[in-house]
Amino acid sequence: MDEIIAEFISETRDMLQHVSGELVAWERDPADRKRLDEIFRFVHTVKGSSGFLDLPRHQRLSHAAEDVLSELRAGTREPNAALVSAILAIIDRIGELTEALDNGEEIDAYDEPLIAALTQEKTPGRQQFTASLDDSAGAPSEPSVPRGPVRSIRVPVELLDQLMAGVSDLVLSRNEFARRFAVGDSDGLDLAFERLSSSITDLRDRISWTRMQRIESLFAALPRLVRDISGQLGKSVALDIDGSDVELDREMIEMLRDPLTHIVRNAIDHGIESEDVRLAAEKLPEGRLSVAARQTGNRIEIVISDDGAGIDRAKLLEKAVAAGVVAESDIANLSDAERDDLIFHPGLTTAEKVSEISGRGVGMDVVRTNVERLGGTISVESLAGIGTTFRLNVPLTLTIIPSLVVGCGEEIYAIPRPMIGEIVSLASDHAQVQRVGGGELLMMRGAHMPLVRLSGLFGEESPSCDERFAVIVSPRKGERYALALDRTVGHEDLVVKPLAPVVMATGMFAGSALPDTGLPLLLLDIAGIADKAGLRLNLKAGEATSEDPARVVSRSDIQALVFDDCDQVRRAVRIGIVDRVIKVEAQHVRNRAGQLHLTLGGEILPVIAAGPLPESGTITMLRLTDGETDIAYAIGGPADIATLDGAFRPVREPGRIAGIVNQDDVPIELLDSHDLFAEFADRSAEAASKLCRIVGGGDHWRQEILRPLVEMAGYRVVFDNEATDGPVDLVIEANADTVGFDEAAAPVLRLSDDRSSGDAVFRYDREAISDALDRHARAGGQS
Amino acid sequence: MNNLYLIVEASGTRLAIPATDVTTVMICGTIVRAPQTPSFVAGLAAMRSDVITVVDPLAAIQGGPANISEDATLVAVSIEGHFYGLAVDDVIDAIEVEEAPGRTGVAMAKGWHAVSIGVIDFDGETILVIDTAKLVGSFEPAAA
Repeated sequence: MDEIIAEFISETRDMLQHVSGELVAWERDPADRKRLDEIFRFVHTVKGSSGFLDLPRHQRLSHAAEDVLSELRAGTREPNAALVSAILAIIDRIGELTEALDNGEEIDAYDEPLIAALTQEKTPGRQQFTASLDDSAGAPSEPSVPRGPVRSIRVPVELLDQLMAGVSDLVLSRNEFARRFAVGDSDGLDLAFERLSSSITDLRDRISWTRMQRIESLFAALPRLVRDISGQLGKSVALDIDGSDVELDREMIEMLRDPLTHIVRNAIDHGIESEDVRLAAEKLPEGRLSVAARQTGNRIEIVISDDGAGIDRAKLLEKAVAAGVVAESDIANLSDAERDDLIFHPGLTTAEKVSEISGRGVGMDVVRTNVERLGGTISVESLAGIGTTFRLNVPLTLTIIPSLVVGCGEEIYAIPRPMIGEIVSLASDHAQVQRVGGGELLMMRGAHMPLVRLSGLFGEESPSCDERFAVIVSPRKGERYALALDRTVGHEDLVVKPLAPVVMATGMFAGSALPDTGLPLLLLDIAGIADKAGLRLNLKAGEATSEDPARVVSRSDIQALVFDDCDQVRRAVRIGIVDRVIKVEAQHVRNRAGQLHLTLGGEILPVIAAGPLPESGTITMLRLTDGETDIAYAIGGPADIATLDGAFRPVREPGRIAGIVNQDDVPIELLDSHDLFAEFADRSAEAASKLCRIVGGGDHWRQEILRPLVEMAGYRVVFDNEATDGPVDLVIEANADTVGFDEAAAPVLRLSDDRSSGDAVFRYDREAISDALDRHARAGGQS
Repeated sequence: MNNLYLIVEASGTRLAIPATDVTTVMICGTIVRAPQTPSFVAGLAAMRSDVITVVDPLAAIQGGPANISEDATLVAVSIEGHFYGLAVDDVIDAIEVEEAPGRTGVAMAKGWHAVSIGVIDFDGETILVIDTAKLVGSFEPAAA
């Protein structure tokens, strides 16, 4: 709760900052409708938040001011200087109260005279109400030009500390570098430079971390909000939240907070009916509200839908005509969608009575303003008696997009990875380019799809591009086409920023990024390119689904990835267990406890390699998954998708190879999916249940140094005489002096401080210890 | 401060840019082509951690293709949150002019009229003051 209040305080402060300029301008010209709207929105927002946060003084003040302001907006009351002063006094007081709330103080001054002043025709001057005007946040010192709100984000102090620490590291590294540079220590320069680079990388990671946040933090406040509002209105509402793990730029989340709150509040207040009305309409007594976020290509869509009464179009129209938004003669020409859109017009609402929660018709125009400020769109669909759905669509700009960087001639572009279906080689027989009516088609596995050549699309000044690959992309669900390219450069997570309008207008780029090369990289707009190329994907949508490769391929065929293995033998693996192809640095593959492991991000995967791996450079691996266990399979060369004849010849001895299949009359080995995982599932299950007792040895050494090693080999560890819940599988005597510990039948591994002591293993001979642990783990597993 | 101007030379023509518009002045560096953009857009370049759209000002005013070398000087201006780099051959001076830019009444060639704010005097030479927002904004298609 404190967190929400803190948020309220800083938000109110931000808004006061913004509204202060408007206030001054409005004071000069009270007839200025736009300024009035701005001030009204501020007061309205404060009213909403304070009601929710149970701040009665804020609420009373803002509610009173809002009443008067809406009269002014409706034109039923004329503004005069006294009234303006009274409103200003209230807004100042809200500022004072907010500051007091922040400092944990109470303000004793009475609010009543301020509220009373609103209804009087003649009031004393403004100064009397605002003794502390000068030090309150709401008091502008001089008239200023109205400006947009100062955009800010809140960051945990902890993170700021980390950033500061990062900067200190950077400074230290710089100093070190400078020192070595000054004395001409060329050997040390390399080292110092490395340290400097790693400091920069660290800092960069932390900074980008400050920007990204799961949308969860936005959704987290919703259950409480829904509960409180529905409680207040005596309605019962169930809330569904979906897609909390979508990542968004922090700033974007902050900017979406208000619009989302407004929509949810409106949905409960106006959308969902009271219990008896629902029962009469044969609906469940409990209303449903669902909020879902999802990433669709380069946009994020947030859908808020309720199962309430829907928008009352007749009433909305009536109001729109009354307010002069629509001429009566035009009504017949409006489509239902256009009628629903009127809800976003300032000053229109269908609510019959104004409640504490909503109903002055300001909510939705504020929402639209805010969403559009983000470069987003909002739309509404409503069915009478069935419900209302709001769709917020905001750009993915400033968010991180995993991308495939591809080359076309000398130029490189990025494609958002979520849109990529697969990559095929045009040189293989499985994918053929055919010309149809001046256009091109890609035939693959019996299915065909339009083919677009970037070089053709980008104009004749493009350098020639030898298109050897096609990336199959799908701009929208059920639609796909192939983009011909000449090479893939690699994967990269890109921080995408918006492009200047003049570049955006091409309709072919979704944003730009600065990757490690330091050169701008354009992100392709997959949907835009389809449009520019004149593809009519949606017309083919029905056909496309029937072309689903899985249906075309007969059951007996095998969809497989064919590759050259590390030992130069051509092998294939069933496509179903391939998660993706990854490229890893050789240094991330290490031999631990007799097994190769790959460190990938925060994960450690076991590695299977049919031959020796290179010591340096990059290694291509297949990431295989059985749904639970993931393993990495090192391969020697590029991998291609192929349809293999299902009639394969099984091998005699069951093992890693399931059988031999023919591909273009070349026999290739097909890996046994079951065997690949069996080995590891088996090991991890068996080993985790193993118990190792460590006896003797220095406490610090065995805790900090020996234990992790043993645990890595898959043992649980107990010390000395600790009780166990089962038989001990291995005893480690941590130094040679330890008196033999009597554990029935458990093998014993002796360690020694001395390299040359007969049967004991030197305690820093890591390889020998790992080997021994591994040997015992396997031996135990088989017994 | 409002009357400070940057005097630049682009393709042999001297122009004045209001200093308040200018974010920074930098050397261009590698330009990445942005296909299908209007011809006066040379492409994109990196400005620290930002991407800047490189524009040939004279091509923008008079029409024709952008012609920029990679060692050109960019005058970076920020318009509605986007950075544009106006490629110039040389930044000659920054001068302060007391009076507001004057009007000439000259019948200017097509293109020039739209981007001109007025003229100022620089060492006896009359120089046109350019409205940078109009310079890069005038070709925004209506649909955008």
